[in-house]
Amino acid sequence: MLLRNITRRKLRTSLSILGIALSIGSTVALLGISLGLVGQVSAVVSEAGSELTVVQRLPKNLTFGYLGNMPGEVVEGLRALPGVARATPLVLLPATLTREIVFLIYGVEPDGPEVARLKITSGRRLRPDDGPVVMLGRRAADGMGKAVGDIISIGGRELPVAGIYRSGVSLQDGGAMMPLAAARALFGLQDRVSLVKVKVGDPRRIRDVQDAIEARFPDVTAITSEEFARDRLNLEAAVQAAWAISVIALLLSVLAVANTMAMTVLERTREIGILLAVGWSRVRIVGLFLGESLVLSGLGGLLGIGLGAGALRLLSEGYQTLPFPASVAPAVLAGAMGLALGVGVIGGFLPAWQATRVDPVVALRAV
Amino acid sequence: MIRLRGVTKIYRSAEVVALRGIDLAIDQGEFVAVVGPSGSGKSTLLHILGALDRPTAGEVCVDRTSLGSLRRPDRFRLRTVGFVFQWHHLIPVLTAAENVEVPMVPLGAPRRQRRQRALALLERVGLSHRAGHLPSQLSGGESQRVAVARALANGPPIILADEPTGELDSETGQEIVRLLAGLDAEGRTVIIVTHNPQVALAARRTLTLRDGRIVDDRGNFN
Repeated sequence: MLLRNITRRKLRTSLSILGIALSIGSTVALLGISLGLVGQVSAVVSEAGSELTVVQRLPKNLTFGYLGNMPGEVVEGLRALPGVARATPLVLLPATLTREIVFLIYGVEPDGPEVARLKITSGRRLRPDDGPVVMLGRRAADGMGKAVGDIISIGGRELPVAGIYRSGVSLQDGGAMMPLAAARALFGLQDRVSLVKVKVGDPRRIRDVQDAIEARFPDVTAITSEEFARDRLNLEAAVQAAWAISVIALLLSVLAVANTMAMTVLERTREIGILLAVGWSRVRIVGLFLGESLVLSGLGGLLGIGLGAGALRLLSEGYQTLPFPASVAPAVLAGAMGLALGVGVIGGFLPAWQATRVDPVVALRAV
Repeated sequence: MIRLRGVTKIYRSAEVVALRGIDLAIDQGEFVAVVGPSGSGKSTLLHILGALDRPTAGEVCVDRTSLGSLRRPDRFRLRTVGFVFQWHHLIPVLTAAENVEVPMVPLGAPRRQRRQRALALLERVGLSHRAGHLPSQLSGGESQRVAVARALANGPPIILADEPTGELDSETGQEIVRLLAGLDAEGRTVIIVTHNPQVALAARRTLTLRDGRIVDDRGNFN
């Protein structure tokens, strides 16, 4: 019974489903990108088991993308602190190679944990005695069409590609790594570093170590890696923007469902009269309309998730050097489905309620 | 057994008095025709009998139950009355069989049982071969027969028909009347509102309404 109105009014059904699908799809894609980005950055800074990220304390009011610029002596000082198992300096430099290709260059210690954990797909790893050479991430190499032995040009310097790696973190796979010393020299950083990743080892001591670091170096701050990804790079703002756009898309789809259901109620006033006349209760009729609306929004949600995930996949294949995650977290998918059903309940409720106000005698006269 | 005492209906919005102090008793198994000019209150009377509408004053009792005191008029409509309307009022997206099943849904019968009963009822009105057709594929007479089958879905003791032949040619109309007359033979009370004197003649009792009053109440000895 419930499904008949849906299966036998095909045009309207498909239009409503499409409307919901588009809004859910854009929500999935936007949240997938922004949450994926947070995940990526957290993965970069917390990889190899570093719990803390040490960066320069923020100058007031300056937040966006500020990565800090700390003197190198901090690294030695951190290594000397009790409770610090390992301190790994890192230089992060965004580079623009062409208009389409923006990527991150990581200045790393060639014998440090970043390099050790990489999977080499061709060529070799960085070595402590390397001069200005780079290793390219798999996606960056594919995107630029570079192979081992080729030359890439960064900051006016020609750098040979020593190896191609895969790390599984697409921010890194879309970037390049070079020896810390070479990166500093190339970009005139002297002994400075962008951030230091600190491994504490004993999770119960993380707070103590945080306090000790900040007491020892008043100009730096030690934050957990996840906080770093969220707050320092202002990815939170990106996530919020994604939510905001999604909320607008969702409101539109609530309106679409409400409109469809309101049209349905108007068109089916006589049907409501018939149902009342044959003994259906008003509650049951509300249930019928809400049920139809839920089926519509559920189907729309499924289609939307498919569209959103498909769009992400296309993006991640089309822009190989940009860190679009190719897949969406199950939580986002479940959330999107929940949202779709929410849209159905909210959009379906008012028209359904309106349906119960119908006077059967009047409704039966409607032709 | 239906009893009406002083039933008055005033439509406030239009200041129209549709029924004025109707007193009436209809026994179980009677076949009653209600005739009268347009606006005489025939349909209003039928709606009140079927608990689709409430009287402004007076009392309606069906088998000693006062309709005014019903907490769930939908349950009363479900089990006690079956409506047949002038326009067949079938649901356009449902097949003939599905339309007949509609009143059975709230009673929670399993789908297969519903379908079996619907097919049996369609067979009874001579339409078993049309069970899978949509109302748009049926003729007016066929649609009205489906509506009769639907009115019988839950085996109600009272059938209320509002101009059931109004939209049909006389021959098809007579078929419907024969169908309804057969129901009275089963002990059901059949009340039929009509303009058509021939239809009224098929009933055993004719009530004539004018300006909301019963002006004539006579038996037909045909």
